[in-house]
This record gives sequence, C-alpha cells and structure tokens, in this order.
Amino acid sequence: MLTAFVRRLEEFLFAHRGVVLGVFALLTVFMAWEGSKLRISAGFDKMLPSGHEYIQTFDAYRDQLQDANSIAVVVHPRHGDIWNAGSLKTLLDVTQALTFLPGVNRGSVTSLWTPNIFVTEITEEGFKADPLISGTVTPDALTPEVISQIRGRVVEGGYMGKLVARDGSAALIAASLQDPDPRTGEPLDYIALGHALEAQIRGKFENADVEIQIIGFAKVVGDIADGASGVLLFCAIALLLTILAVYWYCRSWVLTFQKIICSMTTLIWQFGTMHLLGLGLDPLAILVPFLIFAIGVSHGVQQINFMVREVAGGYSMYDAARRSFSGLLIPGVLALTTTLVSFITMVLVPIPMIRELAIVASIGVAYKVVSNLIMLPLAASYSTVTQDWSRRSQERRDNRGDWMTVIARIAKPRNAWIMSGLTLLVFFGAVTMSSDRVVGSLQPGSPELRADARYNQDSRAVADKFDIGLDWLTVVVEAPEESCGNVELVKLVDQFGWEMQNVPGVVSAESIASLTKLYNVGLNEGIPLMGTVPRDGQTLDYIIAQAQEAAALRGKGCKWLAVNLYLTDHKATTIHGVVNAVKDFRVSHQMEGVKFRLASGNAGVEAATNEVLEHSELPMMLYVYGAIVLLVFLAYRDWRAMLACCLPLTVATFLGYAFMKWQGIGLTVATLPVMVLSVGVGVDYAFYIYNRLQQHLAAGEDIVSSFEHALKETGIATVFTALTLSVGVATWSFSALKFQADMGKLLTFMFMVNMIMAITALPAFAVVLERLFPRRGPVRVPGLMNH
Amino acid sequence: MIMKKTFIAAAVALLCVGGHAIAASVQKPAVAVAHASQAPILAAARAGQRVVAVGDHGIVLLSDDGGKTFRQAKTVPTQALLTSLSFIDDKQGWAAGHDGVIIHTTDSGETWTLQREDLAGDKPLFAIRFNDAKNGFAVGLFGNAVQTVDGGAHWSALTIESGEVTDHHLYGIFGDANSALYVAGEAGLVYRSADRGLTWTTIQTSNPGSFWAGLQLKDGSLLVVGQRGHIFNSVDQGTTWTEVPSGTQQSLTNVVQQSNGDVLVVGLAGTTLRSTDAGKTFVMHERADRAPLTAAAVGNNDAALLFGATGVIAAK
Repeated sequence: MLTAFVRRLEEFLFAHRGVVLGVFALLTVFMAWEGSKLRISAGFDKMLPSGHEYIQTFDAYRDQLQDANSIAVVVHPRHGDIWNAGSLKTLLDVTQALTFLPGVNRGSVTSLWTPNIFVTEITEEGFKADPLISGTVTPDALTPEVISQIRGRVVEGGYMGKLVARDGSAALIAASLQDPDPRTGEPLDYIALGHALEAQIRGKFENADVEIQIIGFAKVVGDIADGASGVLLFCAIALLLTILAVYWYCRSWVLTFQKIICSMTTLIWQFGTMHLLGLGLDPLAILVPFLIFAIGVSHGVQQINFMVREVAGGYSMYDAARRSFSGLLIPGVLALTTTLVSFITMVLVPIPMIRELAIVASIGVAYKVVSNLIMLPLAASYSTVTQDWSRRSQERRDNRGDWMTVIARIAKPRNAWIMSGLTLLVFFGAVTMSSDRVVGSLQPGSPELRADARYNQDSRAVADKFDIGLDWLTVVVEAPEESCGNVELVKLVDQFGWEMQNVPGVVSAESIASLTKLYNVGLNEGIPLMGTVPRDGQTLDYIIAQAQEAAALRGKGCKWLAVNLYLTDHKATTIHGVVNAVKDFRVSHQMEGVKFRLASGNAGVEAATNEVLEHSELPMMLYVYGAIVLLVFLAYRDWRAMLACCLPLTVATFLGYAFMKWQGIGLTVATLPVMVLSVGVGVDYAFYIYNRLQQHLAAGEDIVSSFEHALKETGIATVFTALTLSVGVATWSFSALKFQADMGKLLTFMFMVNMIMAITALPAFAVVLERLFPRRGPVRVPGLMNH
Repeated sequence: MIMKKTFIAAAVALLCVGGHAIAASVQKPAVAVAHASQAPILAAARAGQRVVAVGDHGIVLLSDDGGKTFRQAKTVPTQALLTSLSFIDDKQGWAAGHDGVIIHTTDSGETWTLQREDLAGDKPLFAIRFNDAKNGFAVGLFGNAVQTVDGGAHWSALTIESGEVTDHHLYGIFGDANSALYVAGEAGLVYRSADRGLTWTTIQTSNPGSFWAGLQLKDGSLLVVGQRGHIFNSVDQGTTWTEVPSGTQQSLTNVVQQSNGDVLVVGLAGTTLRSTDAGKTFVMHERADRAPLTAAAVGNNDAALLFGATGVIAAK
C-alpha cells in the first residue's frame, strides 16, 4: 500500500516536475526575502531554565536585587597611575561619553567625577558629607595640589578598590542599564550597546597612553555576536570544502551544484521561517543551519550514489532520478525522522534557548525531506549525463570500494569476535574515563569567549585591581512583614554570611547585616567596637532605615533580605559547593516564617542551568535512544538489528563523553545539543550500512559476504560523508568563541567516531549476534528500506 | 549619640540586671569555621606564652607560636562580637562583648563558659579588666558598668560617672589596681578610682572627642588614645592631661607597650604610631593597604602583632 502510494506520488511529481520546481523556486524567493531580515540576536532570559527553583527566585526579585545588568568601564593609563591631570581628564571624558550612551541609566553612572559620590567624615560634631571632587574643580584646574587633595579624599572615603584600583593604577566608571527603555518600552538591544561601547568608548579613548577595559553582560553579548559573525567565514570555508568534496565524489559539476543548491534551499527556507516565527539567529544556535546543511550533504550523497548506480545500469538520467526518488523516499524519511525525533527531544530541556534550537533544527530537518528527497531528484531529472561518465563513476566507486574489502574482513567470524571484544574494552574504558564529567564551564571569565579574548583579559585585570565581584550568588531570605526590627532574623543573616564566607570559593558576603554593622559603627563615632547587629530591635530598625545603600539588599519592611555571596569564580564545582553549603545551613537553622531561597546572581543562574543540564541529559539521551530503538525495530522487525545498530552508537556516545573530559569541555547549553544531535546523525550511518546488509542477506548470501558487499557499496559513501562533515566542522575550532570551538571539536570527534563505529563495530556485533543467535527463518526484505 | 534618647529609657529600666548566674541563654556556641583568623578581631592579649585574640561571631583565636599561626578555640559559648580580653595569669582569663556577655576560661583560652549576658536592649561591654582571680570590672555603652568580687560568679552594677549626665560611653579600662584604675570614655572624659573601684572621679580633658583606649606604661605614666588621632598623656596619675601630637587624623583604637619599652598605637586606615620615648613623641606610618587596625599585641621576640577588620594582619 505504501509502495503504491510512493508510486502515485512519483507519477504525480514527475508529471508536473516543472510546476513543482517552480513552486519551490517561488517559495525560495519569498523565504529569501524574509530570511534577509533575520538578525543575530541574543537574550539573557532565553538562557535561563524557566521554572527551576533558583530561576523562580531570580524572576521574583530581578527588579529589586543588585543589577546583573550593569557595566564597568576602567580607564587604565599605560604608564604611571591615575593621579595626574591627563588621566583624570580622560576619566571625566569617558564618564560623560558613557552617560550619554543609549540604554545607560544616566543617574546610575558613578565615577570620581560624578556628583553622587560623597566623602563622609565622622567628626566630633557628627557627620560631614562632601562631594568627592568639589563642584568648583574643573578639569583645567587640576594642579598637583588639587590632585593630591582628591587622592586623599578617595582614600578617606573608602573608594580605593571601588572607584580607583587598589594600587592607584586605574579608575572605574560604573553604570546600570535600562531594559526595557522606560520611554519607548522597547527591549534593550545588547548587541548595539556592545558595539556602541566598542566604538564610542574604547574606539574613542583607547590610545597609546590609555587602555580602556570594559566588562559587563552587554559587552559580552556584543563580543559574542561579533565572534558569531566570524563563523560565517567558517561556514563559507566549509561550503567550499564540501563543494570540492562532492565534486571529487561524483565528478559532475551539474550534480554537485544541484545538490549544494538543494541544501542551500533548505537553509533559505529555514531562515525565512525563523523570521516569520519572530525568532532571531542566536549565536549559540548558529550551529543548527550548518548541521542541517551537513545532513543535506550526507543524504544527497546517497541520492547521487543511487542515481549513478541506476545510470550505470543503463537507465536514462530521468528514469534514474525517478527510481532514486522512489527508492530513497521511505528510507530517507525514516532516517530523517530519527534525526527529527532526536532533535525534538531537546524540547524537554526547560531552557528556552535549547527549545528554540530544537524547534529551529526540527524545522530544518523537516524541510530537508522536501529539498533532498523530492527537489533533488526532480532537479536531477533535468540533467543529462553521458553513459561514459556513469561507467567511469561506477568504476571509481568499485575501485574506491577495494580498500573496503580490507575493512570487510572484520565480518569474518574470528575477527568479528576480536573486534567485538575490543569494542567492549573501549566501551568500558570510555565509561570509566567519562565518570565525573564536568558540568558547566571550567574557565574563569566569560565561558562563551576564549580565555585569551579581550573581554576575559579585561575581566581578569579588573578583578585583580578592584574589589569587584564578577561572580556572585544571591540568597534571598524571605521573612514576615515588618521584620526590620527582628534582631534574631538579622543576626541569623549575619551568621549565615559569616559561615558562607568560610565556604571554599566564597570571597565575601554582603547583606543587610553587614551593612547594619557598618552603619552601627558609623552612627557611633566610627568605633569598630560597635561593629555588630544591635540587640535592641528599635535601634536595628532605625539603622536599617538609615542605610540608603540597602535598596538592593532588602525589601520594604524587610519582607525579604538579600545576601550576596561573592565567589572566586563561576566554575561548576565552586558553585555546587556553595549551593550545598547554603542548603545545609537552611536545614540546620530553621526559623519560624523565614525562608532561605536560592538563588540569584550570575552564579545562581549558572547553578540552575548546571542542575537542569545535569538532570535532563540522561532522560533526554534515553528518549533519543528509545526512539531510535523503536524506529530500527519497526524498520527491520529484528532485535539483532536493534542491538547491532545501537551498541556502536552507545560506544560512540561514551567516547564522546570521555573526549569532553579529556579536552576539558564541560556539559553546557552549547555542548548538550551537540551530544544529542550527534546521536541522531550517527544513526544514519548505521541505517545505510545495515540496510544494504539486509538486502544481501535476503538475497541468500551469508552474513560475511553480505557485509563485504554492503561495506563496498555504502561504506565509501559513509566514510566520505563523515570526512566531509568533519572537515567542515573542524574549522570551527578556530572560532573566536570558546563554545563554538568546543562544539566544533566535539562534533568533529562525534562524526568520525560514529563513522568508525558504523564500519567496524557494527559489522562485528552483527556477525557475533548472528553466530550466537542464528536466525530461524530467511531474512525478510523490508520493503520500506529498499534502497 | 544620635540614638542616645532612645537608650536612656531602656538603660534606666535595665539597672536591675546583675548578680545572677546564667540559667537559660539565647547565646549560641561559636561555630568552628575554616577561616576563623579572617574574622574581625577587636582585642588581643597574652596568656603566658600564648597569644589570645577575640572578635566577631564569638571567634577566639589562639597562637602558640608567638602569632605566626592561629587556630580557633575549642568551645566558646557565644556568637556575639567579643570586644575585650583580660588574663590574670597564663591560665585564667575573661572576655567581654556585646549582649553584655562575659565568658571565662581556666585553660588559657581553649574552652570558655558563659558568666553573664544582658539582653534587655543594647548592652554591649567594651572593656574588661581583672585585677586578680576575684576582682574584675567591665564597662560599656551609656555608662553601663559591672563588677565582680568572686571571679565572675556574680556580677553587680557599678556606677562610674556621677553628676548630671551619667550615660557617657565607656570604652577602655586600664591602670594598676594597686595604685589606681582608669576608664577612658566619650567626650574627652577619663575616670579614676584610687580605691579599687569603690569611688570614681571624673576628669575632663581638653579633648572634644572620645577616648577609645588607654594604657599605664611601665614608668607609671598614662596614655589615652582615641577618635580623630588624639593622644593625651598624664604623668600625675591622671590629674592633668596634655595632648601629644600624633600626626594623624585617623581614629586610634589600641595601645600596647613592647618589652623594650616602645609604645605602639594602632588605628583606622592602616595607621600605626610608634614611640621610643615612652609616649612623649610618635612617628606615624600608614600601611599601603589602609587596612583598619583594631587591636595589637606583643608576640615572640617583642614583635608587634596587628589585628583588624579582616582578622590577623601580617606582623610588621
């Protein structure tokens, strides 16, 4: 019935091939127009695992807590220190330039020159607060005396390490951002702001004498977007390599370009659809279009393979294309379905970014069905090839297949046993080696960028010189209304901060308790003897009311209190230890009506992401494997096939894990999809090879010679596909973005390992299984897989 | 000072405290932590060869190598901010702090027991001094002062300030019990008792600010230091005081005398003042890191040990 349907479809499509191709062309033009409007976009929220305990806390308090959305610009004179007229003048200029950048909250800009910075002195008469740089000081009147006065006041005011580097070698300007814009309601364009920072701050003020260092989320996003556009070059290189490789394989420019154009068409449709769906091209998701292209190539090679065989068998190109269409429609759909299923499972990861990636990838694969299985044969039917070309193609294939006979020896029973044993050894080795895999990022600075990227260099420099916490985890302590006079509560928060400060990786703790201590000292002549949370509730309430800086540390009436734990870094192991310590504390220090909630801050968000990735990886892999097992079983109705196809895949997956451990690649939002996708792509290899094997077995050949033939016929195509894809993806290793380099390395490794497993472990397992559990009846020819 | 009014009522209402042992306490024992020596430290003293220092979160630090390395005491029955220490020999000592706590050790600071606490309002003690195993005094916020005659088994209220205003903060207690005992206080006040604490006289110096600490030097002269870099000395048992130029406006928190006779004063913003002429003149030094210094002690080989808001600060 299915076969009849395919026949009718073939009749219909080829009868109207001009119209169909015309419709496709029109669609392509429309999508190209839509797709041209697609922009690279990045959002902070998409990366967050929505619904996770920590993210709920983050969301509930994001507007009240310390702004994650802030930037710091550091003016660093290359010679000498900041205490000279030139440097201070530059600092003023940069401060002003930064104030007027779109997206910057003007009132929040803080530097030595801004009027919101005071020096508070405690004298015998009481407090005395003056602006740090008096309004009468103009940049032209910076005499050495004035400068030394400013310098003294910076020290007195406690701004060393905050606005001026601890060693005086640089000065800092801090600003928070407005997202969305309060006037227009438009979301802040981080990439544009990142570029503005580069052009209007760094570009304008950095020179031979002054270095400008910029850190903050907006800058990272801008840098990532720039790095991501660099990937276009890699895609172009990969495209060129693929074209050459395909030509080498088929020796026909016509076929080569038909195939490449079909693959490109999918991309155009995909980009158009993404724009229609209102999605942007996320730097993290840039791998998807390339992967779709790669899948197109690998399936296209099968089409060409089929057509060459048919033309060599005496058919015209038109007939060969028709036969190829019918022959490959069902197995192609099956293989693509497997890929599709593995992509779709990623929707289960509750991180919008990965979901988006899953949807985009699934759309691409779905389009692949049309472009590769319908459009390519239709287009090919127009081309003409000579008998001579086809004969030589066949010869070439046979010659290339020769060295496959060497590999085919694996199918000899004795070798199959040895190979199976070796594979199992490798498997256990990989399982052992991949234990304790790291989740999250391993390097300091922004994990998306390389360690030596300008941004990460800046981060390290700034963190070294200033008391600035680049990585922090915020715990929100929820309490009953009107708790500002609750002495036990604030003392508990104080003790919490102190105990957390003693946890490895925590540098310091900041909370209403630490602020209360400062103010208690300040309100009492500055005497350190008063550096504690007062026992008297009224006094406590009064102090907290005085503490202006407490805005981001407490809610109205102290309904909630925030504790910011500044960390040495954001390595998964560091964050994990801190999170566990917080959990231990909240269990052992319970107080009526008080709740310790994890966690905001960049480390809190990272903790949530790490936990989600860790917890969703196994179920997701199980779903992917489950789907594959089911599809293989449906296709072959044979559990031996199931095992023979899936075992090598499993070995490859664990080798991938071991590779990650060895290369120091952590499980992240970027690498999790790679592992899932590579299973989906890897199973294709197994399909192609096992399919031919079935054909030969059904024709009555024994298992060993069946494998020899199967490997000769499709082994080369498989090796060729894997090599092409690997070379293309390997270029990513040179990407400016760390995560792309990691993805590239991992994907290259997975393509190669999957291919090697498919041509070595798969035959070996199949033969061994055949020996252990001989078939009772003859092998069924699965009509579905007839290619 | 801003909150003085708030406290007067509370202080008056609470004069009934004292003279009872602790039955049920809200104090929780100090927690053993990895970086105890980074806790804010407010006082340090010697118990024989051992250096003992106390500070926030009930942290008590012990050093048996003259201040090179510190470890945390085994049991301390409070997490309160401890402000002062007094050892009468190498074994027996007391520490006082916020919540009116006084804790006692008989094993050179390894283990401590709680002798008193006072939770009715803010009743911190800022200084404690024992003359011998029986007689001790402690002073604190708003003229609050207590004494014991039985080694701390019972504490009773003590009135140091007489006159119209009796609620000046009392920050330091020093002197030699056999001749006279002194208390350094707010607003340039010094109090003197020549009869082991029975009666006190108030001496107003010319200092408008507060005295935060004081010391009787080996030659019998007296030194008080405090807010905004003021140093005063007296060579007539506190009857008259003269200001000694310090060269700094930073507030001074502690004063110690080394065995070679040098006087070391420490203060905020990394300030150290050294006198080699028994407190007549000082030479100022500011640490590059401006770390606030809150306590000092004398370690091995007469080395000066410094403590601050970030705990033990490298000896220099």
